[in-house]
Amino acid sequence: MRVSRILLVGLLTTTGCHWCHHKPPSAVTLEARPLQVLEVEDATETALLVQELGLVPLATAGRRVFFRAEGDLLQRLTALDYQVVDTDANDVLTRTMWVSGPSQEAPLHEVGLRILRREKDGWIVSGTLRRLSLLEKLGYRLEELNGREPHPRPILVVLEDRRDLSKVLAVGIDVYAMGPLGDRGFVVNGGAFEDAIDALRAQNFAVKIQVDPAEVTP
Amino acid sequence: MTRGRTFVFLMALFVASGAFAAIDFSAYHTPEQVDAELAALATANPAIALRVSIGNSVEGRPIWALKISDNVATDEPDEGDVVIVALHHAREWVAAEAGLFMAEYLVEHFSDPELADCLANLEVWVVPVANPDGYLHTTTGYRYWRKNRRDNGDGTFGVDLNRNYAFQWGEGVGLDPEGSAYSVDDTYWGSAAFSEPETMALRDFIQGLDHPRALLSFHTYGEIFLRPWSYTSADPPGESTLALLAQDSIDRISAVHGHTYQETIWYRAFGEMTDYFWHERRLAGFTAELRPTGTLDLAGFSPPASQILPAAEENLPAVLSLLKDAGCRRLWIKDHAADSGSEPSAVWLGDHWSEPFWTSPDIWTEPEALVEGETVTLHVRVHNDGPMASGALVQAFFTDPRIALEFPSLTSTLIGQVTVDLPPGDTVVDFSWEVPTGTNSWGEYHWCVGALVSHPEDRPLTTLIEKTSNLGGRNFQTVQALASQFLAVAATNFLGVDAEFRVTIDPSTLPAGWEVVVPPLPQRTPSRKARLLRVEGPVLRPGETVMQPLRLRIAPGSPATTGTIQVNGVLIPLVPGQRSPVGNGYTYEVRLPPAPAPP
Repeated sequence: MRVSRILLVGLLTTTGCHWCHHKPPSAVTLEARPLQVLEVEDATETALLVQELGLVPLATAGRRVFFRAEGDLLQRLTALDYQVVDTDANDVLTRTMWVSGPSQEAPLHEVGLRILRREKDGWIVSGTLRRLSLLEKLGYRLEELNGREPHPRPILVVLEDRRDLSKVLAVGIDVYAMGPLGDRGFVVNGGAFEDAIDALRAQNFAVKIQVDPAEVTP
Repeated sequence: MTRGRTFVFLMALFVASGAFAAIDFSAYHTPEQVDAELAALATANPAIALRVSIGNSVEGRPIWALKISDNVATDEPDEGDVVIVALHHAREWVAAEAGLFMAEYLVEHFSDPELADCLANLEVWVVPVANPDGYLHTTTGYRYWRKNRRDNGDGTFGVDLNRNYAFQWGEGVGLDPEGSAYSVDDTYWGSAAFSEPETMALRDFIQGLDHPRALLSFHTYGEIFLRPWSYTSADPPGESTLALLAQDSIDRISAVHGHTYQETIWYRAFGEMTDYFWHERRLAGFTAELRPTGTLDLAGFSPPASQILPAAEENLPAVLSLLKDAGCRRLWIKDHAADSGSEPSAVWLGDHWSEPFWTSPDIWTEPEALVEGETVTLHVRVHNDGPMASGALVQAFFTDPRIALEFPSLTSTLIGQVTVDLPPGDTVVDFSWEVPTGTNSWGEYHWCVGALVSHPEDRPLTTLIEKTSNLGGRNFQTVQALASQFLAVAATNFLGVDAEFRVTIDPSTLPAGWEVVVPPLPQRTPSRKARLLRVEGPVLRPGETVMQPLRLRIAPGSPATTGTIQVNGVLIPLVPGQRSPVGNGYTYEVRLPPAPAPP
């Protein structure tokens, strides 16, 4: 009995200590290794680099291709007169993650994250590793999505003037259908994440969020 | 209504009755059922149907094609190829059903008299599901999933396969719907062009075909029949050819159930499939956005199953018409003396063209000798192997010589066009042509003439002379050329990508003692693309023109004579995958005058 009591106290102590003082490990691991970046002329050149040298693009930005120079790739690229430079992977690589914690949304914007979904208990955001890490330092809890893939919200935008269509398309929505709405203007049916919806509303477009289809299995 | 149209219309009605259908289209098939139906078609029709995998998806699933052809187990390199592909986008289930419908129809009706003649010259490939992983995900995960199932490694999945082709890839603003740089978006274009095994498989499969002639890609929804370009509202080369084909398809679709498809969409798409193949190969490709129409929401991707058959039925006449154009030669113009109307009329053999397809004997002038500024009669002979072709359009163009020649093109000038009835046999159509004054853009007294014949029952599917029997071409020199003895080959890279440029001479046409030397062009630093592909010859940038001089050496004492110099030119694009040459040739007439009498 005495031994058991000691064990129980020990367990409680351990549990209590973990519960009270343990800081959860960071969900955002910053990359220590740099990425390599080179400039290409166009997409065809990138495709040739993939085909001929086995380069694996990890990201592209305009004419810049980011990759990791494994093996003798760097030497082969240099021999072809490519200027390959290192760059901080944390400013290039992105993740899409679940965010919870403080209820204020403003810091998410200030850090520069893209807000994809606002849910009742958090957000789904995407951004570079560095920005996500910054958010975490502000006290937000970041988690992997673990299968909770974000889908755009189905939206309906009615335009009074069809000439506004280019403004709607410029914010980035996946268009399902669009066309004239009798003599009442022009209608766009599409899918959009929160940032695009926000951008539309900021331009005073009336955006109606449609019923979000449940995950349907036929 | 012509006989062909009547046939197609009756076929459509026949299909509408469901009389032939063994596959049940009253409900959507699961992905497994689509595969099984394709396999069953092959098993039940082993002489004409063969199921083959053209590659694997990113998750390792096979991408199945049903090959439909006589001698189906054998590759017949002289036959043309038509590809019908569906379901780049996973949620567009009606597209997969339409693909399956076309496969079954062509197998079941393979021996129908009016279809058999065309199919005998073709290998038809139906790929009902280009995106098997995404398709499966729409049945087990999210019904409205669009992309493939690439694990992007950042918490997101999927690449939009129809934004992943290399032409114009990654251009635009980088947002939905024209193609997004963000991996979470529905139109994410991927980490590079052809980053996805599905698009690479389709590229390599189509590039590996012997003679691809037409491509049709089924999507949903909106009832729209699209042609290149998708990335811009500007006209592509050969716009009138593509527009004719698209409008005819729209008319045929409309005739079935009264649904008139639109021909434009409200937004651009970069890295799209049909743009890529028209740009790369001048392979006519169309995108049919099937039912339903209207400004619906996501429900537009899952219309009632009762819409499957009407959607497929109304597109059947467009498919059959493309097959007829691709497989049944009826109206044709010779490209060279030995041409019997086959497509292609010549192929690049590594160092020369198999036939001089720029020497059509069906195009000639009267008088024969061309003098700049004078008006001549340009004769075009059209062969008709079928019944009377009423209302055929015959057009004649001229242009600077260039590699490669295409008609119509952004640089050719219309000499004239006439609408004529072409009875069986040969008909000669005449045009009045004022021979251009002076030299062409390259300083030569040299012009190329193209003649094009089209009819609703036989339309050209491309703008390249050697690839369509509806088109013939011939190069002409004015008498000033004979006087100048100036020899050169001017080449403009009309492709949108860098291209290797080669010139060779066929010595067999030279008189004894004559030799033509092709001096090397001035050295320039090879581009990185050229070095990546280990290309050592000259490379032309898009739109660049180069003048390749030729030197004629005639051995002393050679007799006075007139000889012909046959020059082969080719452009080989610097692109990933198979590099398909396009080109042209010139046949120069050169006169060696008698030696002057000794003083």
